[in-house]
Amino acid sequence: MSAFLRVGFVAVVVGALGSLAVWLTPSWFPVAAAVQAQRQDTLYFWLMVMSSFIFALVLVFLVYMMVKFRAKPGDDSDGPPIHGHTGLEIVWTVIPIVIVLGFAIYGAAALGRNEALAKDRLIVDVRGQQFAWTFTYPSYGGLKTGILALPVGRQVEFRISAVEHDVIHSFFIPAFRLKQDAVPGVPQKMIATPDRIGTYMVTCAELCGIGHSQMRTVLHVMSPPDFAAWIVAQKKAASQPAGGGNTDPAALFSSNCGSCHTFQPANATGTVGPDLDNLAADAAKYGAGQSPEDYVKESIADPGKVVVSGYPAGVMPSTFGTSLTAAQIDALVKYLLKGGS
Amino acid sequence: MVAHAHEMTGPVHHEHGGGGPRRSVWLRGSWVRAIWVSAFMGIAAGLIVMGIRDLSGRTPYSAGVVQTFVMLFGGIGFTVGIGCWDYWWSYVLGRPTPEHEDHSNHGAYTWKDYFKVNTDHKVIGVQYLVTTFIFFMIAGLLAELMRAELATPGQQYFAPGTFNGLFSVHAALMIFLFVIPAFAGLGNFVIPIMIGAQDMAFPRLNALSFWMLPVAGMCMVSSFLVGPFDAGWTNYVPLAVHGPAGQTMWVMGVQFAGASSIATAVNFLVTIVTMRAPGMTFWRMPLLVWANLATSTLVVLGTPFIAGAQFQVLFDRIMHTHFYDPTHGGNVIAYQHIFWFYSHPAVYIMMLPGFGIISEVISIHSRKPIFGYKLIAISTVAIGVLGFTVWAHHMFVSGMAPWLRIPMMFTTMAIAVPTGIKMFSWLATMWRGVIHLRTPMLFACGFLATFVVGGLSGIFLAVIPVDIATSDTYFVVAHIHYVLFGGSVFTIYAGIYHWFPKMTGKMYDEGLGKLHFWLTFVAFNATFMPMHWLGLQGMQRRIADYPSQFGTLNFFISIMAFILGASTLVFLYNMAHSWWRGEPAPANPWRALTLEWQVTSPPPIFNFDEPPQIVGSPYAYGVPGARHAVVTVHAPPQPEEVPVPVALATATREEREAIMSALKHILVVANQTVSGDRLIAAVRSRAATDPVRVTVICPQNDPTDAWVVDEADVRAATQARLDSTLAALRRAGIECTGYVVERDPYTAVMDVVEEDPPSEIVVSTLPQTRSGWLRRDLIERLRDGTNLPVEHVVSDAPEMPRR
Repeated sequence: MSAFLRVGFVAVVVGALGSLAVWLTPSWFPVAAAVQAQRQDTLYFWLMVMSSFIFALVLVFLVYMMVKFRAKPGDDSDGPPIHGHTGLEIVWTVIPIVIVLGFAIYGAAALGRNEALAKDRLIVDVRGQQFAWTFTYPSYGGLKTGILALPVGRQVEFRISAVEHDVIHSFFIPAFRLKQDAVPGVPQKMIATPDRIGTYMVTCAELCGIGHSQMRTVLHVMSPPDFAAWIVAQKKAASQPAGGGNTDPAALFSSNCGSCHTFQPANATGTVGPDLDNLAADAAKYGAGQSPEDYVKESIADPGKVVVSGYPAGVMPSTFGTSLTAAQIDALVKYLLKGGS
Repeated sequence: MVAHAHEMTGPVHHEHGGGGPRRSVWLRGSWVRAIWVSAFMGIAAGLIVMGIRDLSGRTPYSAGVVQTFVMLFGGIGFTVGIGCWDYWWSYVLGRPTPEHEDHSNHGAYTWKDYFKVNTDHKVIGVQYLVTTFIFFMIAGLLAELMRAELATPGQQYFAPGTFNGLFSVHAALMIFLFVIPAFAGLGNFVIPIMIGAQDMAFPRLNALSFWMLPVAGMCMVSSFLVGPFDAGWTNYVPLAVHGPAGQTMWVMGVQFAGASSIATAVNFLVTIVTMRAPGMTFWRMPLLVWANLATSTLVVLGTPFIAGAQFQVLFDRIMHTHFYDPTHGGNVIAYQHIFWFYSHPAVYIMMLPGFGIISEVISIHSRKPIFGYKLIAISTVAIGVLGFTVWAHHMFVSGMAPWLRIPMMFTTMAIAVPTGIKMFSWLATMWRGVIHLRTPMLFACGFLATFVVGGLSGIFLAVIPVDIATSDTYFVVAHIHYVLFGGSVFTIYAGIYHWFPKMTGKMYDEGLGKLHFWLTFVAFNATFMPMHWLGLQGMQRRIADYPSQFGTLNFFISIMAFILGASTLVFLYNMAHSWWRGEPAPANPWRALTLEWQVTSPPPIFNFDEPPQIVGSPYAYGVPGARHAVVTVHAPPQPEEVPVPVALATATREEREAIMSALKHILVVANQTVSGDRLIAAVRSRAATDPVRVTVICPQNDPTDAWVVDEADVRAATQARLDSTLAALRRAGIECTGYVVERDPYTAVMDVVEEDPPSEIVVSTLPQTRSGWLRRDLIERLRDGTNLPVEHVVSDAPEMPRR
């Protein structure tokens, strides 16, 4: 048996061992919470098997040659003048073609299944803006929320958009292995079928400005009864006048403000906007004779009017004046100025 | 005798208007002029724009508008001031221009020449490499700052906006001011020699291409002064349109870097296609030349797209056009298509020259022919062609037309095939070789080991469902660094170590080189391998802060990144110290066949004495008697045994004067041709019959190019020619003196005839068509004026002194 075949044999064995190691490694992946995630993980797994094999093959040959064919000191000879080998060249052209074609077809099939639409799918509108996500449930009376909840086992179609004058965001749920850019002016959609109850991270994957890394919220995948109850609670909160549960300032803060501002009582550590633990001092400094309450109220409704030095203008959305009710703003103002007590 | 020359008086004769005393440093092409012209043009443009704005009733100062004009004209002013345009400008103004054989700003004679506009491709190559490594260091430092911030969760050192600036400028510098131009620099040095040419096709354009780079770099680096551009190097709209003032600097930086890149690519294409030596067929070109041919085509076809896209972003910012403004009918995704239509081929612009280098290094250091030469060359071209058909695989989650994803997945998969062919061919080249594991070869092996990872993770990312999960995460960060560090940086290192002896004439320190390799290789893998896992877990890229669950691994990555950064210092020390103090390099330390190794280290100014004749493959190692090329080297004049007529050395002063007056005095007049073989032979033949003493004068009253050239350089070059002639004559035992005189030749001769009458005059000139002296009928005038025998020697080509 020639040296080439012997090394080739060893390389194939090592490659197979590498693939086996991939096979036996228990947890490559984070939690998967959607049918699509499992398809992706399977695909990824086979890619890993193939790659480990090829990587091991290349490495075995490389290391063997570096050791075995290394020139002895003072050896000025040349190697044999081998210019090529048609058979070998055909082999390493054809086998890769087969491998990549196989994966491309597999990938296309998986994509088709991932995006196949179910009739009873739930529609959720996702809207991105610097630096928050807003979710609307058109089939539940247009309920608007800052956190996402989904019933397990039912396909969801996310209709993703970004505020017109805003920038591109990317709606990313790692546990679903899915993301889709939210593009100003071009509506998008994304299909997911949650299959595991739990709480997961929702984040922005496309650089969207200084608050990019803070643009996070959570996803609760719930059993259908829990989801129905959640919808009812949210609706009740939204429809109730001032003084109801929807004016709970701590909840309002964490869904609207906490990703960008630091505020110890709410355990918020955002650094995009000014530190609200110093709010009273800032109000005195920038308020220009206004009462602190008026200053804070104005800053929520029209954040561009006065900008704390050291922070850029135009970052905080100017939509809170309309997206929050007057009662909610009052509750927030009180909460912020009292330091959360 | 120099003092003697100064004593001589007479009318100073100016042939050209630009002659006379040396031009002031403020007016000739120099750094001083570069700074003031740049400042003047920039400020003037800014003031004019502000004036126009004021007159039309707007606020005079608008950061975007004023910056654009200041940088555009300041940047052009720099290239004007440093002297890139002087020659062309003389044409435009109708000033006398030197003949195109003039090579007075060609070649480096001292280290200072590397800081001036130079038309020698070898000098430009070194200028490129040193400049790009400066930007490599700056960009690397930015990466280290990023890793410091990311070592632990939460905000430590930088506000999020600054952090976004750090990674944006890091990537922009690495791509546009390091990888792309570093390959242009290596190619500049090596390609013309490899194909047997004397220089690039357009040497002055080549110089301009280089001098646009520092301008591009300064635009990008100085954006930190006004708020760095922070939309990533991809500069996606609308974020880029909303971004801070530094965005304008990014756009201008890209324009200068892009223009430089296009001009260099055109230069390479013309050089490779038209200037190959006789016998250098396409199938005999070294693979680096093939790679450069493909790369240059990509640059010429692709770069206008990014230039256009960035201009549109600039216009949206400062002129309020609506190319990409969705509120006025603009399309945000269109930008990404145009951007990636360049930027995906740009990946191959950053890879193919590296592939070429690896082909050279592996074949030479394994002492074996490259395996499957034609298939590698064809796959290089195939990658170039396919490279234009895969751009939208960067956009699988961007919201582009969904149908486009599947075809783009198939083309992307297809491009893995030629890449695989190259990988396997390199491995097969090493098989049964006699592998010398010197530093360049180590980097080549390191490249094979890391690039296979980058290539395989590329297949992951081509499969749409996997891409949807991992795009915009650290998986992509890991992938691009395996491709562009494992691929490009490792190959640049391999190339620099491989050609260092050729470039500098010194050997690098092998021990330090190996230390550098192992530190870099280990730290690189430890830094970037774990990022695959982070990405799979869902850590997005380009974030200043991350969930604390990723803390441990990020801390480890940061420590490794610092070690990776420190490994570069070993390289810098090795290069600097070896260049200064290294062992002298032989012409061909690696016993290679390609042409650049058949000339001296460093190569002569014009590379070859005669165009080499190419007779075979560049990689025929192990083939008995195989040759790639026949290179003719003109032997330097060998000292002949001519008896020394008189022992002057031991004579007393009186004896000496007596002897001198008894010798036949010959006056030699020559300038460009003074070191020509025929002239020296003519003098020797006289010395063989009679005892003679010789006075050589080099009349140098009209530096051939007063507008472009530094006259001190011309004088220095003349002096060098003269010295080599005097040395040759003295070796032959002929008593001689000589000096450069600032006179026209006729006056200079008449001065000598008056002071110390010779018995014969020998005048050496260029042939009739190229000799200003003959046009002025010098020979006849001398015969009439002196009544002495005047012999005329014609030297065909000017002999330039060698470094």
